[in-house]
Amino acid sequence: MITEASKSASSQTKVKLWIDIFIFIAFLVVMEPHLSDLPVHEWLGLSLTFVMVVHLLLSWDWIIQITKRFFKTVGGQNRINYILNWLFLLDGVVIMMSGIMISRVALPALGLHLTLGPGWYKLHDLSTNVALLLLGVHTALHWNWIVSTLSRYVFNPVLALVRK
Amino acid sequence: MKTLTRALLILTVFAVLAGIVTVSVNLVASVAVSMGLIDSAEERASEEAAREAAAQSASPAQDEERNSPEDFNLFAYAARWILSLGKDVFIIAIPVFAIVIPKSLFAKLRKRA
Repeated sequence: MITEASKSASSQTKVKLWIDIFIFIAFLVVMEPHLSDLPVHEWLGLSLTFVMVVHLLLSWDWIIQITKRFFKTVGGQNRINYILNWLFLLDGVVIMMSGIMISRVALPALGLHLTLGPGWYKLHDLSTNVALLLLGVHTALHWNWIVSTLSRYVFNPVLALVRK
Repeated sequence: MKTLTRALLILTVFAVLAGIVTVSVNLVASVAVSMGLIDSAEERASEEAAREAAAQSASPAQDEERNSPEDFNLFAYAARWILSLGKDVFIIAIPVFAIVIPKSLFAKLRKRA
């Protein structure tokens, strides 16, 4: 029973790691619309929203646990992490909404044409720059998890293969 | 079923936040337009259309030349990608180093003490 539970946790960690790697690479590609081309930028950006839902689902237990205990017995780092994650989510929503508003490819392809209000372009630029910094802080706060999981599931297996 | 409910809950939070963002941006924009701080959407659209029409009538051949596939340089394109990604990774790395290094130093000092 214990081995089954640990196996399930281990496979969930693996899925989480690969999803996070995908999000990181996709985020970097999406950050450069002049190089990746507008259709790639818009469709990849929209698909990131759904990948983010999976990322949140995989962290569901942590989110619920901290939400319940936030005003009671949450440690300093968890509290900062939780607030930062909400800021990151809000920033992500701003990026998504402003991106939808200024969309020239994805939304017209779906048959939707929005009347553009002023300020959406600037907001999209500003929120993506903020996201870059928030991603840095998010990465820093999860650094131990990233290093240990990468060495466990990527570096050590690769090293073992090389040594053979 | 449990996962689906959770996903729907997350999407609902997304939708609520998106609604709040849209309403706030439109509210701020309409106040700014009414105060004369920025142009309205219609004015901007007509200005942009006029600018695009002027640019197209001025040099259609030049545009075609500039975008011709013969001009495409794979090395320059790859170099631009590497530089742009490097810049983004560098920006992300700044807070990572600023937080991780002092944290690990503190942990080491605490262990010694």
